[in-house]
Amino acid sequence: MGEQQFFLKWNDFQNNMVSSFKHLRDEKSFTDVTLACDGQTCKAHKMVLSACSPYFKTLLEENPSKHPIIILKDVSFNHLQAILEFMYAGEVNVSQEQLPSFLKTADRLKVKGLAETQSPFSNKREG
Amino acid sequence: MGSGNDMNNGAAKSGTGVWSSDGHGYCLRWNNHKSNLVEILEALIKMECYVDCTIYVDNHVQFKAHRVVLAACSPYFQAILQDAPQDHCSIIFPGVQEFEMRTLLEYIYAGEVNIAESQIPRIMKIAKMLEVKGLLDMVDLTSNISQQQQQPISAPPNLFRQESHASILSENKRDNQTSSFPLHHPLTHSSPIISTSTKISSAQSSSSPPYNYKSSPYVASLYSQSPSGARDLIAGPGMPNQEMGDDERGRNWPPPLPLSLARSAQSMLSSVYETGSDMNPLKRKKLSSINSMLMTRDTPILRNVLAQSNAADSSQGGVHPQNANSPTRGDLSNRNDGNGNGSDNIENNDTNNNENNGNNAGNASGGNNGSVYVSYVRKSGDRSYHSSNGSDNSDKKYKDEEPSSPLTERSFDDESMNDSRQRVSPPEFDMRIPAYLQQQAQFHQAQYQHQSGGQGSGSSSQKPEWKRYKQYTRNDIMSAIECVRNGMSALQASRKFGVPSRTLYDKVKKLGITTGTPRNRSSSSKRDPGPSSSSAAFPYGSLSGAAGAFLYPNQDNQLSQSQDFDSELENELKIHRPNPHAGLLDPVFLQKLAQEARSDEFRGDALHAMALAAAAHAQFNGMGSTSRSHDSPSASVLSKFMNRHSESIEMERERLDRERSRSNGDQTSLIKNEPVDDSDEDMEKAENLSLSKCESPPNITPPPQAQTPPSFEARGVIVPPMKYTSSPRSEPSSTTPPSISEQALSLEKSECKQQSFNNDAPIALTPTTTANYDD
Repeated sequence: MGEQQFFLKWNDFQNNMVSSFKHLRDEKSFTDVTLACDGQTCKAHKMVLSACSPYFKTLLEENPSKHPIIILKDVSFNHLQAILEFMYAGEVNVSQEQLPSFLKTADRLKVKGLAETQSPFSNKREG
Repeated sequence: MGSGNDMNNGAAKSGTGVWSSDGHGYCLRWNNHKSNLVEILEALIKMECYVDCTIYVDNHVQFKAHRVVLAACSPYFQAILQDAPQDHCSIIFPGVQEFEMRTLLEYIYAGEVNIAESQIPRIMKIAKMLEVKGLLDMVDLTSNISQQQQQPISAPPNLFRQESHASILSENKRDNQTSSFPLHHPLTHSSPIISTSTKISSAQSSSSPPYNYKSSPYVASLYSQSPSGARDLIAGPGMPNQEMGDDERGRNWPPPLPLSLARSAQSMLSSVYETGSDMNPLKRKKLSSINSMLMTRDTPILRNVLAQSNAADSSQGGVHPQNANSPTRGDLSNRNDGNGNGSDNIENNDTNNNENNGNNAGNASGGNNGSVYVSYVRKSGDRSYHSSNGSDNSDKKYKDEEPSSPLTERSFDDESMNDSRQRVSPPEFDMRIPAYLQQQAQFHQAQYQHQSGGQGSGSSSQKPEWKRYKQYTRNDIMSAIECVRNGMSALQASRKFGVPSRTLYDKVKKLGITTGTPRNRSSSSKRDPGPSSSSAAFPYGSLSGAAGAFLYPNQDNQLSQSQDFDSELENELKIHRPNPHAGLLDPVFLQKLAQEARSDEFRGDALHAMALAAAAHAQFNGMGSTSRSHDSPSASVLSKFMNRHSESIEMERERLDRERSRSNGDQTSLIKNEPVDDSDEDMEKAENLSLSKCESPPNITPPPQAQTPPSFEARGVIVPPMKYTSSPRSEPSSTTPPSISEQALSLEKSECKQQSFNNDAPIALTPTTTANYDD
């Protein structure tokens, strides 16, 4: 009767998305937000930031802009890059020395997966 | 200069083709181009015209701005905005408060901003993050300065320093702008560039008080909300006088003031140096502002500086310190009157006489002394100038004083002063002098320099005293004085209580107690009662008799007043206090000089002299020559002075401001300090205003300069105090600019190698800046 429904599943969807986002970030393609701290900047995608951090989500929602520049206070650029790496790849390598401060920064930015867990082993994937 | 040069270059380049064909080319220069641009930017931001950037801060507050301006004032913004989309972009500052961003934007657009002390740290932090030009340098300098300052005195909060830096920066910028205009100030070309000035200022003034009393109209208007600081002095442009008065009067100023004062003093010194070397109107403004700041605020440092400056003003060193140190009761009345130099001298006799003598000498010196000095300078050569001048002055003073002054004590002081001067004066002063001479190489200048050198030497001696002062307590001094009154010799008393003998001498003299036996100053005119004698001693007058005379009278008045205040305070409080008078004198001196310079042909000379004097003072102050044992003027005394002066002066200032405002329409921007680029004339006016304001405070009303700056400038003048605070201690920071700094440094070093504070700030100004502009 009804048309037969096919279930199409992209088995590598998640991996593909992750790699695609990473690729887009590396190429700075379609980046629509600039993060700045420590006098350095890096570009990212609002969508990814919003998906991975309620902090950025709120920030970007409250300040709608085509390409906002977010200047973060008290955030080291290394940590910011690590957090972005974590957001885009779901994993990141952080030295033990930097771990506490990194987690602190992540907590401040409310990065999903990092903000909730204080344990150094938390490497949850963030949307 | 820089702008002018740029303009020229651009014109030349563009016109090369035409030139080749015609063989004739014209350089069309818009003298006020820079200032005009700045003003336009401010107007545009007020109206939010052509804004292409929105800055969001917490609580959904947003500011409109021009990316061009942001990028121009911050390499950080420049880097960020470079890649930003071309259309309207948004900058989000999470965690930044509204007032912080407003303050920074005001600073960026107006070049100056009033900040509450409590806000300084946060604002400076953000400024550092954003790499806001001027403020960024300030931070580094401030840290250095703060450390230095902290060591000698209770360390003032870094924040203040930073603010001061900012203010300084703004001033520097103005200077630069002004310097860009070649027409008005040929001398200014050599003036330090902004960068240098900023560095210097930061170093010196890093501790400078955060309050920029100059409430530039722009700042207030630019972003509707003024910085939240309770102290916001941002009062409307028309209100500068009142603000000044409040500030001065309101010793209530936040506790940080003392530090800020010191910083301001430093800034004053630095500014003086700059002005002297550069002769730029901006510098003048700075100086004036600094002076005003000094006048208004009572910080120990300021006091010291003031005392030093006073001593420097008197340039007769030995005597002045005494006067400044121990204001006698009789002096109070006399000084309060502060009418004519002659009157002051006569009335004040002892303490006042010293200062008056110095002033008189300066004034009168136009004839005899001045010529003598000149000759000295020439003979001795550049290097020898300062030392020789200082010694000569002191000697002359002594001679003058000796006949008139019955008390041997003075002679002691004088001797000590001379010794100190001679000791200190050596090479450094020489270095400074030659530089100045080279720039202006005029008799007048030389004379001024000599004066300044003399003052500097005196100040140098004073500075050590300061340090000493710290070492002993008021109680020690008081007890020592009591012992002296009871017949103990000053030396014994000084040893017994660990009080510097010189300071003790000075105080005792001020109190009218001869060494061994107490005497009233008024009764015993130890120092030359007659100004004439003092005048003879001073060579200053030689430069420009008229100009010098103007300056001196004012100074005398101020000095007399300050002394009176001190004496009153001392009498009332019976507390030892450093020579605030010297500081007052110096600023007044500077102001007068600046005014004279402006009004008169001698501007260059006067400026140089001012700069020299300031440098000398700063050096002396910073160095704190041991020779003079100035009683440390208590802050309260200073504040009293300031208040009194401010009150009486305020009226004058208001008048002056009004006149100036009438005369100059655009001056308001200039007043802001930032105004920078306004036409050279405007700059000069602004400077004049600042000077006038400074002068005005002393009640004596400085001779109205032909170019009267707008009231704002006066406010702007107020700003300097911030800088001053860092003065001696901050100076040590090595960041000082080259030329001026070198001179100042050399002087300071020679005089007071011990304290390098003054050197840094003041010195840095000229050399580097000049180079930049020239480029």
